[in-house]
Amino acid sequence: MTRFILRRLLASIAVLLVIITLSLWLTRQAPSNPCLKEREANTCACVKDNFLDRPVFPVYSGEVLSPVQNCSFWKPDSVVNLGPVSIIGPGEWGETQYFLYLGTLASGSLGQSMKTDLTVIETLKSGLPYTIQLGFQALLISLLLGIPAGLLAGLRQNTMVDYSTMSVAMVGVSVPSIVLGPLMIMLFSLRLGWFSAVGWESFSDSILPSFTLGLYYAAYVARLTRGGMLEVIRKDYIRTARAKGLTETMVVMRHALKGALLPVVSYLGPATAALLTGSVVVEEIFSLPGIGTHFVRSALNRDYNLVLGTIILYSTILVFLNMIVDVLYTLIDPRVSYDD
Amino acid sequence: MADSNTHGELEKGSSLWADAFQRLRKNRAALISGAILILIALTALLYEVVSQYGTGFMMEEQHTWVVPKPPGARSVPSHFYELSQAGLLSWENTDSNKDGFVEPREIVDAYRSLEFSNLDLDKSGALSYDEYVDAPLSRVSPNKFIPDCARWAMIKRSMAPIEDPTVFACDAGADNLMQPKETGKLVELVSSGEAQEMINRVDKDSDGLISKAEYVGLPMPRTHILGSDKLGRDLLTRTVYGARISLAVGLLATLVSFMIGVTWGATAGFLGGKVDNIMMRLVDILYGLPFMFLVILLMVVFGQKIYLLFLALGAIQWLTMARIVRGQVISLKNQEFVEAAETIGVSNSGIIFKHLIPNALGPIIVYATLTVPAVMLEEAFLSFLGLGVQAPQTSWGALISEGRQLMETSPWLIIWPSVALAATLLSLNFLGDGLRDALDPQLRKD
Amino acid sequence: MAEQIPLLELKNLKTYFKTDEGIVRAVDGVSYSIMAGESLGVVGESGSGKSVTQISVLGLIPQPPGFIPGGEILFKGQDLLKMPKAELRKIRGNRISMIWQDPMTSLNPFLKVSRQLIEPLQIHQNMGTEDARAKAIKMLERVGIPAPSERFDQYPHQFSGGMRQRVMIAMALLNEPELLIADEPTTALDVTIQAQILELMKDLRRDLGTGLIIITHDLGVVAGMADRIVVMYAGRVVESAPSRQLFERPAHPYTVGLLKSVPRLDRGRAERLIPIEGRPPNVSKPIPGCAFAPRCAWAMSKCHQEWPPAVEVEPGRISQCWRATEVFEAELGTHASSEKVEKFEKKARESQAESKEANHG
Repeated sequence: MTRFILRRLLASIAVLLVIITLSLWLTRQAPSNPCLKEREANTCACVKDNFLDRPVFPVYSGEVLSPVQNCSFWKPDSVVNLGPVSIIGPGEWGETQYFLYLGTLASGSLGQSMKTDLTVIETLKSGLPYTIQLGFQALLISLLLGIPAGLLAGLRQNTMVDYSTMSVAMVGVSVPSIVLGPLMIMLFSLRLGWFSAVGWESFSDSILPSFTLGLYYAAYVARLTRGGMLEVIRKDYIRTARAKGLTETMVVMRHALKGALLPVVSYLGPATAALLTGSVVVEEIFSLPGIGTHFVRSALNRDYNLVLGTIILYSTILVFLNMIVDVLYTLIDPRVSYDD
Repeated sequence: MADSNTHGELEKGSSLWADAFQRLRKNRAALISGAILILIALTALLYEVVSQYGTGFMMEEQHTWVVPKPPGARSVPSHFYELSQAGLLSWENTDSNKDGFVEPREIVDAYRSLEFSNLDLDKSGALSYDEYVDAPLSRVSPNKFIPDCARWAMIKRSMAPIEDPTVFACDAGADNLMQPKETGKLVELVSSGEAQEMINRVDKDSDGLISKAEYVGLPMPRTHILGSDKLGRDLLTRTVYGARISLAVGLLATLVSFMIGVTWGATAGFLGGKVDNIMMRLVDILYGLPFMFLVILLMVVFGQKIYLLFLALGAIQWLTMARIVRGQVISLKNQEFVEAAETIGVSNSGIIFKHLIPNALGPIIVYATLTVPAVMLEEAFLSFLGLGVQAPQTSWGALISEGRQLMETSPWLIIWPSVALAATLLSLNFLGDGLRDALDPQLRKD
Repeated sequence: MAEQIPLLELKNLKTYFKTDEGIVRAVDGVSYSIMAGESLGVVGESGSGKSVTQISVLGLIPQPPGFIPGGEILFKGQDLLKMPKAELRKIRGNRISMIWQDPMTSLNPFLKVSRQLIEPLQIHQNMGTEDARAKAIKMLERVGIPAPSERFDQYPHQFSGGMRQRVMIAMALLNEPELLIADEPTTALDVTIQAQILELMKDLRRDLGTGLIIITHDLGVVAGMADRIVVMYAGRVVESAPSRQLFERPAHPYTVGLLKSVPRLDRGRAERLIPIEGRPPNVSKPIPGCAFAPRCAWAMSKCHQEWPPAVEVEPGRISQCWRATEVFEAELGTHASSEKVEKFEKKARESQAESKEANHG
């Protein structure tokens, strides 16, 4: 078992490396330092105007580096030593810079924002708990609503229960959060006044966003569960269970449930990714102080480093959660051997 | 006979496609969805024709209205001329001061009279409260804000009237009837600037006025079926243009994912062995990537060009397509009848292709139909955040985002694009489900 | 001899299925009985309804699309069809057990074998877990699983095909049922394993005195296992007889055909295999007359019109054929050569043609 976990861990790190490298490469394609092309005298002013006097990729965590006064620091060659600190500049990147950057990450620093004086971690630190809570609540909603609905529909196939549940699920899957969110705001905030429309002051403020994010996946999970149940309930071993004299409840709970939930468990991985992505939009709709808001803002501002840092943070969370899901899957399906 | 099939065996020979088509026909939801989609697609493609004879508005149409107009309100599309009907917009009616020239103010007044008489149902020459309330621009105050008449006079210059009886009283005066000159913005269809523009279009001698010889009539006002936005742009028109982008992105990105996926999957399936292993391992690794973020990064770095959107969104979806195609190719390779055919020496590959390809295409078609809504959703998300299509192009996601800003006062701006998006997604999902049931009824999974 | 109540008696059982193509009459008036401790073989082609009949006994037909329009299933005199569900459940796995054709799909792959084995004991005998485990392990040993206590907590996919079938048998016999129904128990297994499983079943029957209904399309299996044989075709019983006598002197043309289509090692290469021409009928349409008539060498015009009555060719043997006595007397059993069978069939066809002319003339 430990070998299996170790192998999954290595695979996860590999995936993470791919993401980091890809994102890093993309960021490096961004329009480069305009001041390097500046031929006139006011290079320093250009540097200051473009926020380029802020070191962007510091190699240690925690402290913010104050703007460097000496504008000539900003040269094409890239590694400048300031005592215990190395700073990777904006010039050409080669292997040294790449590995230095990885080292930065490993030491726990995500770099510094290009447009403010804060490090990436500082900016995101306050937002992380909100995003995590939002995602978690949405996941709960999707499972707690979706699984029972799907099971019920599957067990009562082709009855009114089935048709109505699946119709609702179909609508749920077709109404995205950008439609559902404003709709819920219009109904529950503006018209009924039950919840506030923006911000996150107390727990009740998280209800509408969680449902907005979670209902779509609840519908999806319901469909998956129904499908899983439909497939399992026809299996021979269910017939065997009945032939042994078990009540229908026992048959479903003891024999059918595990198999029926298998598609849902294997969907949990992509679901986490989807929830993470979806949370960005929901945070925007409800103006929640999570990571997503910072992400969108940094993207619109072209604050490349903050964007990069956020992506890396999201990816780490994602990869980590995927690993847990994989382990979970093997625990449920005994046919999957650990040596896979 | 490991299958516990307890039905008797029934002999029926019919081609795979005929069978599938039969099943699809029975699925009413799928058929209705198909019809809706065709309708949407045709409207999107042929909108110029539709607008010419129907709604009348074009994409670039902008007005100097500050207030978004609700559905049912009217504007004058100034981009095309036509002979007016006799009556209110005849020369006699327009040249009110009878000086032989039509100037902008007279045009503005002519339209105001037109709109006024439209609202004045009992033709009494004044608007009663009921007639006032029926005007499209007469709207209920969102904040239940009822100012006193002095303040109201100031506000009214920039806002559309509010249908509270107290406010009506401020406008209508002591006789409780709104005379034409008291109507303010209620009946204004064009501003003087737009009137000048209309004149300039036919003003041959460039004197800023129209003489009787130059006069060809004034364009009739048209109704905004779905309302208009804060720049006076017709919402229906924008929604249709948004449809073009949203649908185009959906289809083209799916095409991109199809091409990449089929190539990758077929190669892996055909070659098998180590190559297959490596290729599918790569797919497995890539599967775990949070693609949306990378796409956003891509758009941010390279600019929000639309072809980039096609490519990027298509690049997200190809993984599953590759898996499906590879699975199909492998199962086809192993089909016994292929081996049997080889043994017999069937040279007519046409026969094989009549059975192999339909079998393989089934899941591919189903998945492609279900990829389109997924891609449209992603594009809507991106545009909603402002990271998708850029102005002047618009898509449903962008429209929803714009509408959200004015959600409280002008709900129609977010409602109609949302309905369009949801309806399209719903139809696509029903169609995809129907196709899946038709092509593989045993796959009644979800 | 005292009048014994049969262990299980089916009276005119009908099981139909509603499908898109019409009503499939899978079982269309089947009657037979089995006494306590007896073993009955049910033989037929696929689609003959042999499995559906037995599955109906335990009430395991999915009820849509299946339905039972008529008949009685008397288990020791009690009609199972009229029994309330709760009581029926008490019989399943307890007094009547069933084992299935494919042990891989019939065992739950997600649960350990131990859990699946002790279930019948826990439910029907209210046994505690420890006692149930002990008894189950003993049963595993009895069915020939090596190192049973170690393998007890494994999963089904960790057993081989033959082993799995033994587990199924163990599971079915734990509560010492009075009747065991085996639906093609060896079809999915290799030939060598088949023999082992059949021997095991014979063994256990002897020890426990269980009645056995064994369903199969394989005459070889039934020859060694069954006291009586019932032959089914198109949802009906066409012949029933003690097995020895069925093989020696079949009384129905279908049985004759079945016997002749089995390759014989002791006959030399010159002997031809005589397949039964044609295909089993489409049971979604009501069949006038005898279902086998279209393929029968002995068929007369009457056969196509009226379903033949049960003819008792010998005490304890019935055959549903208009010409049962003829067939019976022709002695076309396993001792007869193919040439003899062909000769008689030719004669049968000619006599039929003559009688046709006689009718027209």
